Amino acid sequence: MRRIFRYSFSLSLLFCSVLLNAQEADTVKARKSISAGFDITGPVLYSLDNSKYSYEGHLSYRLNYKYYIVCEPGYSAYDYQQYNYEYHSEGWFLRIGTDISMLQPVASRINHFAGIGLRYGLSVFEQETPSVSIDSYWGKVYTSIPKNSVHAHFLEIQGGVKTELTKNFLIGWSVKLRTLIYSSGRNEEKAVYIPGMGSTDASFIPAISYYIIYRIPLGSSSGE
Amino acid sequence: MMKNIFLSPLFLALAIFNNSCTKEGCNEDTEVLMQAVFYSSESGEESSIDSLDIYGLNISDSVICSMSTLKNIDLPLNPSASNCSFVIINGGRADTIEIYYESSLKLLSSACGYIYLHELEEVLYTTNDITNILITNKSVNPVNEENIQIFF
Repeated sequence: MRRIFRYSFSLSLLFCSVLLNAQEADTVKARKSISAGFDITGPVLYSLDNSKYSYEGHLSYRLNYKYYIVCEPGYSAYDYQQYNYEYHSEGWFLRIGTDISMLQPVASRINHFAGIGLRYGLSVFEQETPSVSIDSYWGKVYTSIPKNSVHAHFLEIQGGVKTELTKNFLIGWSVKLRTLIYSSGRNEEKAVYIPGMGSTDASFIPAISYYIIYRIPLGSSSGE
Repeated sequence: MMKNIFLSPLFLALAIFNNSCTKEGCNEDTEVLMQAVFYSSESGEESSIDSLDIYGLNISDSVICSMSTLKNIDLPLNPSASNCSFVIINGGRADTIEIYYESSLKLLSSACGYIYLHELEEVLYTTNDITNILITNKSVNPVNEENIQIFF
């Protein structure tokens, strides 16, 4: 499954490289702009599976046709229950980084985006395990882990596309891979789910986002 | 063209993401057992012991092994206590070993849940057949390594 995800990630980058090959003579300068939007994946997935809800914003500042500074704040809560434990985590997260466009600065594409993104993420959250049951030779053991605070740091790489549907109104998607670099939770306080990052089971965690964004152009245009 | 590029990988990624969301079953060993290896007190080498019966003290109706010939045995420690005892019967001669330890919870994985790890502190024993017990590895964890040596 992880292999299939890597192939689809490469596929999305392949589409970006196709765009690079088209050569047009009408290069233009990109206007600096601020974009604000949100990720609709969280509410959509919550409507399908009540165990997790996530609200995530998308803020970006376009420096020029190639580079964007991006900030993605959000809040997430996760509940999970199975035969031998219950788990709950909720908290805030923030991802900051840059998007790098692979499109040429030509008139037909200047307000679209196709490229990669790099993020550093911080998640500050509370978690608890209200019940744990473990079978043993000596009988079933019942215990719990009280509420505790954890902070976690992670990195993310993504590939995505944003397209302008109407003037200054964009929709887009991105596929992502995240990896945990540090968590303050150890042993029994190791997190099952980190807001903003996802499950901690694998070394690399896939994710997808679908954005609705409004762009506010600023003052003068910016060159390459 | 931008709309085609926008839509087609999206559907593929959504389908893959939906499938990858399903939590897989637990594929790891969740039993944490203390490994006791048997040694000859004469040669100091590992040896097999015949006709072994082992059970937890006061749980004689739930034997760990019966009339077995073994070189080692994996013993389950009691997670809800700081010590537990086992009765070891070798050819009609019975000894009791009492193990003292500290236990701590650890998340194994989201699919498997939690396990107890143990740190051995002390082992006391009777000497009807057993001559000595040494702690060689205090950490009792899912890695299957020797924890104590029992000399007969």
